[in-house]
Amino acid sequence: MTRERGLDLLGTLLRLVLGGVILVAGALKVTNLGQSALAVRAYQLLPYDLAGYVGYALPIIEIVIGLLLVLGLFTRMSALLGALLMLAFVIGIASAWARGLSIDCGCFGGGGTIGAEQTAYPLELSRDVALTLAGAWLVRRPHTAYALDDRI
Amino acid sequence: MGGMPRPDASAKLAATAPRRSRSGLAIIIAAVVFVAVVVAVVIGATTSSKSSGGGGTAFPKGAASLGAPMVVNPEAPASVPVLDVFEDPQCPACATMDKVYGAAIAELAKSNQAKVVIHTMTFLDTNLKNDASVRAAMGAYCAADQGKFLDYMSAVYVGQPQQEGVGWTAPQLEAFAMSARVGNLTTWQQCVKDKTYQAHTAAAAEAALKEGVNSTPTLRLNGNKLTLTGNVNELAEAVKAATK
Repeated sequence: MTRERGLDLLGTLLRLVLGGVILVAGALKVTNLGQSALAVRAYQLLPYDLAGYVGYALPIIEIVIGLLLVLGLFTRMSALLGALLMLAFVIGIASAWARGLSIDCGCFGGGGTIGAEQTAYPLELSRDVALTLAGAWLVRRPHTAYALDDRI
Repeated sequence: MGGMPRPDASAKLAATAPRRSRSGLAIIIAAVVFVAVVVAVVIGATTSSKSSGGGGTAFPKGAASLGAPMVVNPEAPASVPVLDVFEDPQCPACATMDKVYGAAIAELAKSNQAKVVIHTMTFLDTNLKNDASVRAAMGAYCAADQGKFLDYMSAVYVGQPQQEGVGWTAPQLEAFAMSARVGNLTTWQQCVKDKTYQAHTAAAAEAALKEGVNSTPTLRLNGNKLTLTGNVNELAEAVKAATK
């Protein structure tokens, strides 16, 4: 196996992990958009109405970016959007933690205030940082194996 | 191979056709996403405003205006501390709080040692995908017209289902009115049937969310967050300390 092929396969793995996580996160939330709006409001970062709109829109955007990444379609652009999304989550979660809020990140549905002992900020943050890096890798080297990009 | 060399168009096609289909596809995807997001935001915005549509602008006795919190003892002198309680009828921790502190809170109101202000929230309906919190809150507001708001809320908490999310049937909500000793049950029934305080309940819940409260029960004494650990004397002591 050549070095190029190895990097292509690594890219495929990162693409599937990043895309898979984003796709699942969106799919779990899209059936309860009201809950998604509540989860965004719990961060107390955006004005009430704007937080609602973000909550309604986010699951759909996630599903689309996730699908594109899984399929390997417009990989560089979707990886960039996916990485920016993850970066936004990292900032949101870190800021909630820093402000002493006890919230569930609402990443996969749920969300809102929870008991201080139930928070999982280190886990949520390290997961999202890792996914941001996966996206950044794909932006730098978007060519991956088994991608639809090669077929159209 | 003989004959005239034909200009090779296939290479040119291969170079341009995919480009065209790619950008076409990108435009289609972007358009679909845009439409889907707009639809989701519009649906989300209208479902939240629909729930505040019914019931006109009526608000129950004890509330100062549409969506204003329930002041249990409006006659309380301005010198006593204000105790704000944010609660959701379906919240198990609220039932626990009511069990431990419910009587003490009622007593604070009755003796005018504190001005007791209740903010009903209904976000657990969204969470649990039902409408039980809204219906219970509307029942409580109908009871408020007959001076039985706290009694009704306590009955709701006592009658909270074992399993969170089951909610209450209409006969159960009516039984709460009876155990709260609502004087005129027919008036209460009509009030519930007309969903008189639907808009008020939605507005009150939204107002509480806009205040930044997103968990229940949340207690505030003179605007400061009050944390109770389960000792019934804590509340009275905190109120005493906050009284000038």
